[in-house]
Amino acid sequence: MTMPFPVYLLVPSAVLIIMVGFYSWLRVKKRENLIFFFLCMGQALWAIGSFLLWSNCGNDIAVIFWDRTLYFATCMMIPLLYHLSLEICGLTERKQSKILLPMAYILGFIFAVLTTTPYFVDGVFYYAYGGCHTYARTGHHFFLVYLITFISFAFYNLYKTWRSEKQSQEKKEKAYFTLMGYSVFSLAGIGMATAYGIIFYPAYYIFFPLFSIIITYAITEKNLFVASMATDILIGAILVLVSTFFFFPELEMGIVGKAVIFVLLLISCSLLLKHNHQEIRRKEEAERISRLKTEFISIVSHQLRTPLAAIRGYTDMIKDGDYGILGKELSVPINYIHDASVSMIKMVNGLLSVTRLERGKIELKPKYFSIDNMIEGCIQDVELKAKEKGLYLKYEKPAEPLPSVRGDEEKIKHAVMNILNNAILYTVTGGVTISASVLYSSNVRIAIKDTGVGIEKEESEKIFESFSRGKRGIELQPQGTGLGLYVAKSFIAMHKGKITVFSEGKDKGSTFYIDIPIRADIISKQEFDLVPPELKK
Amino acid sequence: MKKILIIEDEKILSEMYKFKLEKEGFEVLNAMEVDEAIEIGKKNKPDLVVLDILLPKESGINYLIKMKNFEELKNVPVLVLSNFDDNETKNKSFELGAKDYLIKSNHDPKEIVEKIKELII
Repeated sequence: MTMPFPVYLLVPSAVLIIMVGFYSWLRVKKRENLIFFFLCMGQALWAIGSFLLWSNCGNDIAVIFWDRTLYFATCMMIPLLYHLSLEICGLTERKQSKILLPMAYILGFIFAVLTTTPYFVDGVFYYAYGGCHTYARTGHHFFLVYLITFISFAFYNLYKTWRSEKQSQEKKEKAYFTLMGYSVFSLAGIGMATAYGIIFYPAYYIFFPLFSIIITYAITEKNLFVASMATDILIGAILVLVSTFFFFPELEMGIVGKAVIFVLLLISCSLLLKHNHQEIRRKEEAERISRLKTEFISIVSHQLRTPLAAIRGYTDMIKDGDYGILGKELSVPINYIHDASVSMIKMVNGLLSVTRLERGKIELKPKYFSIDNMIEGCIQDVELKAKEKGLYLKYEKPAEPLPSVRGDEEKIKHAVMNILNNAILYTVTGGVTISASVLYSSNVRIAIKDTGVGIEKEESEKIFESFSRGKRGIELQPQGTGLGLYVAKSFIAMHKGKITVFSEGKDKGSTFYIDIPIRADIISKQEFDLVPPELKK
Repeated sequence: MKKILIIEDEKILSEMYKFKLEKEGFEVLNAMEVDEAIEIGKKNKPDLVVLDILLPKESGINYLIKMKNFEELKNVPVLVLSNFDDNETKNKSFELGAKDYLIKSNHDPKEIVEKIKELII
């Protein structure tokens, strides 16, 4: 028996729907994605049930069984659709939702149980297109009322969120796409009329995979979705199409079938094209903003340095008695002003290093140097500070001498010093231990272990970002730019190395590992992009 | 008495360095921009030039280029003292014969004086 073309599409549709369900759930671990995952499973069951119903036409017992199965799936889907709309509109915490949502699930469950009885659908009739279906019974009528009510609620919520002035653009967009998806889904709902003897050519089967794709698009990170999934879907659709022609050459698609396929391809193509363009524009905009930001910080930093140099210079001269002997009472505040200006200058310098990093203007001067000597130099620089705080400062020398490393000694030292300074700054009792070793014969590992405030696990990645600081660090030392580790990480990354941190948590201390390749192919000179115009003449 | 020419357009800073240097026994001249500096320099033959980079009209780098045309100036050591902190400018300055390149805000005036003394002797 030949079946209409859209029926054959049910099987690849089921596969596709299961795929997008998993895709969406694996990509974004939010509740709405989990709901959508279950919704996809329901749809897949529905699609397979429909296919088996068609292929079993003639065997009434099987037809009734599969029709009940697909109704069972539909009963599962209604509360999920309603729930998804609430999640997307952020309405789950509303009073009405707290009553309606459990009600939707309970009723859905009751109807699902009912589908297994003759009170929902029973008896089989045959119609053109080689199809067959069961007759609707009392339960089916009530089910339709239930379905229309809750789907209307969902539509209402989504529409309101989409048109709302108060919602964020992102939420509105999400609601808009979900609304589109639900409209497509409702179009597929005309299939329900079959139980009442109103027959359509089953082209509406195509709306189920379309619905899943649109919802995935709405609730997954859009750029990711377009970049990977839409392409996959498009290629998949073309493959299905081509292989259908190849394996079922006698298959009569009919004008409707052809039109459906054509529209499907057209929609996915245009979506893909549109979002590729949007993506390009967004990227350009982001780059422009980031460039403006770094230029702004750089200009501000230069402008800040002049008055700061004046404050620093004059207070230093007053302090030294250049303007007459300074009374004891005044010398204390003058010293404070001087120290404050110096620490502010350091912050400005930090800001400048970051903007330079972001513009790729840091120049590396690689040569072979001794890590051992460098570490001893670092220790000398901070020895006094550790002593003043009453902390120990140990260097556990490796048993074997360390090989010399090729890199920019100044930059690597800068990175080590930033971490070492932090270790002393954020340690109250105990001290700091530095050790160095050769790792996998290709890297040198410098470990800086302190007994300080520690770093919470969820922060161990974030602290390396610019302007980011650990919670415990802020409590102990409110000032700070959050740039030290960012600069350190960037300098080490320029040497193809990496910095990692290990901490057992609050007050358990932390250990920073700096891994530097012994012979890194580092970029010795980076392109300058911002030479003052007068120098270009 | 050794003569120092400060090329600096920020009055607040040029006054500061002038005060400190005079206290240390130097004679201090001040110019606000490159051409003015060349004029003053030709007349007074300084022993050292302290040069800012971001100046009105043209960059301090141009002083390093122009001074080579004048007998009186071409062998006078130049200490670049600027807040403009850019590798390209630094390298260019050294290429053109600057003795050192210091960032104003990173040093107290007395450190600058020490550096100047070091460069004159």
